[in-house]
Amino acid sequence: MKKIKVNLTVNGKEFTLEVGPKERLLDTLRERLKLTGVKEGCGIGECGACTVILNGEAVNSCLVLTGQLDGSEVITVEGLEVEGRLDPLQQAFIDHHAVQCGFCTPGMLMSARALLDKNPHPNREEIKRAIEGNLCRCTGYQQIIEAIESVAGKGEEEGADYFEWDPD
Amino acid sequence: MSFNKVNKSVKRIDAYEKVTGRAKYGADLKFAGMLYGKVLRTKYPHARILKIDIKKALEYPGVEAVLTARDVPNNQFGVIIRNQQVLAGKETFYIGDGVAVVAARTEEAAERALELIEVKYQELPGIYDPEEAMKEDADRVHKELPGNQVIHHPLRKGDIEEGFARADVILEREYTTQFVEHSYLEPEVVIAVPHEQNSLVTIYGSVQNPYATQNAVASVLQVELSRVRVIQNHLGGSFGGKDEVISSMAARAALLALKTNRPVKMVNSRDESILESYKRHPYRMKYKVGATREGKLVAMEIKAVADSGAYACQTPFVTWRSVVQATGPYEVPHVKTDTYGYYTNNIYTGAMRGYGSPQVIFAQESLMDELATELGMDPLELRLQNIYHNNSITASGQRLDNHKVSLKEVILKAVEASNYREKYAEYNKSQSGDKKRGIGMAISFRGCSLGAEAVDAAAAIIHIQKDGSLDLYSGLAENGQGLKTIFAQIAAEELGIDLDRINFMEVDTSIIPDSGSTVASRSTLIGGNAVRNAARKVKAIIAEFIEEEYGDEFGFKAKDLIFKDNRIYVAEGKDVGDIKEIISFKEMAGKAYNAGVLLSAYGWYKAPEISWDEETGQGNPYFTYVYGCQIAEVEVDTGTGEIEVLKMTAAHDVGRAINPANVKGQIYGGVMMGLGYAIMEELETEEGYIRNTNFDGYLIPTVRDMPEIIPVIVENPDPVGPYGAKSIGEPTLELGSAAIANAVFQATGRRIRSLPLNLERVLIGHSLSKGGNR
Amino acid sequence: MLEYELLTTGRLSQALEYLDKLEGVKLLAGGTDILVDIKKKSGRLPEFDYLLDISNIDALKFIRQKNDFIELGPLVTHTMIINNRLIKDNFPVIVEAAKTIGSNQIRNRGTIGGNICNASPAADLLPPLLAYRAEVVLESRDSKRVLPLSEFIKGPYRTDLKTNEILTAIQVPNLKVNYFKDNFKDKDRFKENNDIKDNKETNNKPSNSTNIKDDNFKDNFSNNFNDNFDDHFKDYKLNNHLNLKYFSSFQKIGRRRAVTIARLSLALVVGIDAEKIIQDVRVVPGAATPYPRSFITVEEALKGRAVEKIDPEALGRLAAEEMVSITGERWSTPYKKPAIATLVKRGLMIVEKEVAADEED
Repeated sequence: MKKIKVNLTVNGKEFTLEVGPKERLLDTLRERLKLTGVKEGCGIGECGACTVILNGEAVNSCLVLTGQLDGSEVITVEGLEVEGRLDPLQQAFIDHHAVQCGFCTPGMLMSARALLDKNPHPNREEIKRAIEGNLCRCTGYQQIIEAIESVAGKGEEEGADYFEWDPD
Repeated sequence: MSFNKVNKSVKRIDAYEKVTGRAKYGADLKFAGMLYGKVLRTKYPHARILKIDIKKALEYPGVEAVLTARDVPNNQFGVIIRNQQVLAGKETFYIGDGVAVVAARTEEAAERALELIEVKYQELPGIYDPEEAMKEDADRVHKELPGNQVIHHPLRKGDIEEGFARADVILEREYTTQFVEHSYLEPEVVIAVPHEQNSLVTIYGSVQNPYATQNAVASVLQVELSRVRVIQNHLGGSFGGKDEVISSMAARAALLALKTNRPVKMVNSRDESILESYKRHPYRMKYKVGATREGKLVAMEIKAVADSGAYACQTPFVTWRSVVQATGPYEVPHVKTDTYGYYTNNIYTGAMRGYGSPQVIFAQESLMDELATELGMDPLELRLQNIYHNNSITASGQRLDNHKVSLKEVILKAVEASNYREKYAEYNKSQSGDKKRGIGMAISFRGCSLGAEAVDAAAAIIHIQKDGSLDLYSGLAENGQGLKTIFAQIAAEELGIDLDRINFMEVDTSIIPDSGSTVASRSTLIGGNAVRNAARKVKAIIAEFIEEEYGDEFGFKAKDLIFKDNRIYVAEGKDVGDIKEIISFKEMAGKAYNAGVLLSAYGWYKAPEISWDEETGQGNPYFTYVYGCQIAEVEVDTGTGEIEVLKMTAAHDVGRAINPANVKGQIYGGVMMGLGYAIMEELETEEGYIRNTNFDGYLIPTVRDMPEIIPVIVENPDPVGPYGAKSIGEPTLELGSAAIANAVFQATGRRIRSLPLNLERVLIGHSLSKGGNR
Repeated sequence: MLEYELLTTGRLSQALEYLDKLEGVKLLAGGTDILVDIKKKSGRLPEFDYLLDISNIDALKFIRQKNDFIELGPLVTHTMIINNRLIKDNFPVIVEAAKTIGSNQIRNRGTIGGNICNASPAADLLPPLLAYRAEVVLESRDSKRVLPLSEFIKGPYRTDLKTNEILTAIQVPNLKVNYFKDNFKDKDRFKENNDIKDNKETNNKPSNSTNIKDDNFKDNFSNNFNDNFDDHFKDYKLNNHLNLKYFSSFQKIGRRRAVTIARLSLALVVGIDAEKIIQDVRVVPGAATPYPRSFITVEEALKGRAVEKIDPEALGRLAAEEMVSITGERWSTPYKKPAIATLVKRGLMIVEKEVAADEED
C-alpha cells in the first residue's frame, strides 16, 4: 500500500513520517509517538476524548487522517506542561476537583486550551460551547466549568478578537 | 469533632497523573511480543451454531490462534448463577455473544481473520419480552432450566386485603423503564500476560472488580486462584459496568495468551462495548396504593418484573435491592410485593449505579405525586405525612433505630435550597405560551453497602517505609470516584501525616485479600473502616515502640501520644493543645526499622450482622441507610416536546463527608446521569438487535444539557461509618427521573409513566420507533 | 475489509486531473462524515479505491463578496461561517444553523461543501442554503457548470455531482437579487456574475461594505432589465415596492441541547415591502422530508399577504399537511406533524414580532 510522507510538528518537535492511508492522527499520536494521553472513546467524533489542537483549533484526532496533515502543527495534553510547569488549566483541574476517572480529562483540557488561546476571558456560555463536544460521565461538568472559569478570569492580556475570520 | 485530614476538600491524589496524560489506562499498556485479540460475535440474537470453520482464519498471515467454545475448559461462569458462556458453543442467546476469538500480530490481521471465520447458524425464534417469557407455555431461553424465571423475591407485611379495605382512595398505575448503557468513557480493555512472575496468567486492564475477574478466569481455566493474578489500572469509569463483561473478556484473553504463550491485548471499540456489555434492567412495574382521605398510606401492592436478558448475571441481587426500596421511605402497614427477573434473548442486564433502585423509585415517587393529585394534596405534605422517622418500621420489618433517620431534615433542606414552596405555588397558576414550567421532587432511603447480598468485608494494608513514607493497599478499587484520596485521607488522619507521603497502590489480587466488589456505595464505609483499622494497628505498634524508647525519659504512656503534622507529640501542661514533640514520623520510622520493629499492618473490617428471610422478605436487610431528596425544576416546550431541566437541588445525608468537594463531584455526576436516564437515554432494541451502538445514537448529557445544580450535603454521623461516613455514589442518580417526571407533570398536566421522557412521549404521549409504536 | 489509496494535493487542477484519470475516487474534505462512514462500515458509502484529500487546496477556502452574491469556497468550515461578519450580516440563518452543527471540534473541521455533498436529510446547512436559493458551482477538468442547490440535491444522500467533478463554490445571491431572479426567471443577467475566478479586488470586503446597496441595484437593474418588465413588475416599480425588508429565523429540535442531529429544523426567510405585504418567502424544513426542499404550498399561501393578517397556527397545520403529502405516513409522522406545525407557527410569529419591532425603530 502506498505510503504518504508527512512532516508534522507535535508538541514543538518535528517529525517526518511515512503513513498509510487509513492511519488516523489518533493512531499516529498514540501508537507511533507514544502520546497515550490522547484517548479513544468512540472513534466517530462524538465523545471528544481524542481532542487535540491542530493548527490552533480543537479537533477530534479520530476524524483526521495523518496523511492530510503535511506541514501541520499538533498539540496534545503532553504538550501543555512546559519544563515541568503545569499549564494553568491543568493546575485548575487539580484544584477544582475537575477530574474523576480522568479519561475525558486530556480532551477536555485541549478544548479548554484552544478556547483560551483565542478568547482568554470567555463567559460561561462560551466555555460550555467550547466543551460541548467533550463528554464526561463522572463529573456532571460542574467542577470542570469552575476550573476553566478560574483560569479564564485571570490574566491581564486582552481578549483576542476572533470574531472576524481572516482568510489570509 | 475536629479533624486534620478528613472532612476536608483535599485535592485528589491521582489528579496530577490524570491532567498530564501520564496516567496509564489499559489501552495504553504494551508488553513485549504482545498480540491483539478480537472477538467474532453472533449474527443473530438467538441461533443454533451448526458449524464453525476456522481454517482460513488460521492461515491468514499474522494470525497466531483462533479459539472457539471447544477450547474453553469450563465455559460457564457467573457470580451468582453460573450460566454465562465465555464463547457460545451450541447456541447463541443474545446479540453480543462471542462465537470465536482470534489473536494476531496486528489488530488489522485479527480483524481480517474474523471475516474469514465461517459460521453456519440456524436462526431460532427468541423471546424478547419478559411478559412473554413468564407465560406457562413459553419456550425456555435456557433449555436445562425449568423455566424462564431467574428469581422471585416475595415480601409480605401485614394483611394486604385488610389494608386496602381501610383505604379511602386506591390508585393502580403501571410504569416502565428502559435499557440503559453505563457509557463509561473508556471502552473495556484487558491484557493477559502468561507466565509472568510465577503466576499462570496476569490480567491487567479496566477491571472494576479484580476479585470477581480473578474468580471467573480461574474458574474458566480450571486452575487455583493463586495462579491468576489481577492487577488493576487506571479505570476510565465503570458505574457498575466493568464486571462480568470484563470477566468474560479476561477469560478469553487468558485462553489466547496461554495458547500462544504471548501477552494478548483486547480492546473493545465503542460499538463492541455497547453491543456486548450488560445494561441497566428495564422494569415493568404495577403499583397499587391505598390511602386514607387525609393522606395516610395504608397499603401498597407491587409487582415488578425485570428483564434479565440472556444471563442471570446480577439479576437476583439487583431485584433484591428493588424489594427493599420499592415502597419508598414511607411507613406502610400492609405491603405485598413480588419482584421477578426473567430470562429473554435480549442483551443481558446487570449492575449499574443505582442497582435496582432507580426503576422502583421512578415508579413509586411518580405514584406519590399521582396520589397527591388524587387527594388534592401538596405532594410535599403527602410525603411529610408518611416518611420514615427514627423507630419507623420499614416494609421489610426493620426498626430504624441505630442511626439518625434524617429524611425530614434532608427534605426540608432541599425544599429551602430550591425555594420549592414558592415555585410550586407559582407554577400551579396558569402559564401563558407554549413553554411551561414545573417543579417536582423525589425522595429515597437507601441501604448502604451489600446488605444481605453477600459477605461484606474488606481489607487494607499499610506499609511504612523506613523513611516514614507509606504504601497503602486496598482490596477495593479506584473507579474514578475518588477512593484513593478518601482512603489516603483516612490513613493520614489516623497517623498524623501529610497525604503526599502516601503512595496508593493499585489493587493486586496476589497481595491483598479478596475484599468483595467495589460496588453498592460501600467503599468509604467498609473499605474506609479497613484502612482505619490498619492505620490504628500500625499506630499502636509505633506508640508502643515510642513508649519503649522515650517513655521513661519524658514520662508518658503509649496512649498519651498524639500523631499530627508528621510528628509524634505528647500532651504537656494543663491546657488543651499544649504539646511537646517527641520525634518526627520520619525519624521514628528509621529508628523502628533499625530496632527490628514491623511497621506494616493488615486492616480488616466486617460489616455488622444483618438478616433476611427470602420467603417473607422480612428482616434487617441493611445495617444502615442514607436519605436523599432531589427537586427538579423544568421548562417543557409543549410545542416540540423538548424538556429543559433548569435546576436540580440535591440534598443527601452522607453521614460525614470525608472530602466535601469529592461528595459534590459525586452529586453533580449522579444528577447528570439521572437526568440522562430521565429524558434522553435509551438503548433501542428490536427483537434482540441493538440499534444504537455508539454515542451518535446513544445520547448521554453534554455540558449544554446541564442544569444549575445545587448540592446540599447533610451530615449526621453514623455510629458505624469511619468518622461517621456512609454513602453517596448511588443515591445521587436514583432520584432524578421521578423528580423530573413530577415536574413535567406540573408543567403540562400530563403524566408520563415510561422512561425516558423523550420528545415523542412529551409531545404525543407515546414513544415511536422504526419497528412500530411502543 | 476496505482498502484504498490516499491521494493528496494542494492544487485544484491536480485534483481535477486525478478525478479525470482515475475511477473509484471518493473526495475527502473535513472528514467528519466520511471518516465516520468508513469507521462504521456504513452501507451508504459507495465502494472506492482512492480517497482524494482536497482539504489542503487553499483555493477552495474563501468567503468573498461578488456583485450580487456572496461566494463561499467548499472548504469553508462551520466555524469560519460562524465567525464571518459578511455571512452573519447578510445570511444570518446560515450562521444560526452552523452554530447547531455537531460540536466545536466538528465545526472546526467540517465544511460547507461536505455538508452539501453528503446530502443528509438532516444536514443542518441545507435548509438555510435552499432558503437563500444558493447555487453550486461544479467543475471538472474540462467543464464548469452552475446549478441551483435545489437541483443539485437529488435525494437522501444523493447529489448530481459527477464522478469527475468537484464542488468548487457555493453562491448565495443577495436577497433582493434573488427575489427578482425567482420572480422573473431571467437568468441571463446573472451569468456574468457567475465568473468564479478568484477576483482579488472583491475578495472579502470589510463588513460595512457588504450591505445590500439599493442604489447600485436599481442602476444595474434598469440597465439590464428594462425590457423584461412585465406588468406585474411595473406595478411594483410605480409603487416603489422594490425595497423589500428581509426577516428570518432558524429553529432546530434535537434530542439533547447540543451535539445532536436535527429531529426537525426550519429555515424561514420572509421579504416584505413597505406596505408590509409578504412579497418573497422561503420555507425550508430539515429532516422533515427525504431531502430538504421548499414547502411550496406554505410559501404560496404566504405570498401577497399582509404580515399582520397571517394566521401562523393555520400555516403550521398547512406545513404539516404538506409534509405528509410528500412523505406519506411514516413511523415518525405522529411526532413530526405537530412538531413541524409548531416550528412554522413559531417562525412566523418571530417574523411578525421582528416586523413590529422594526417598525418601532
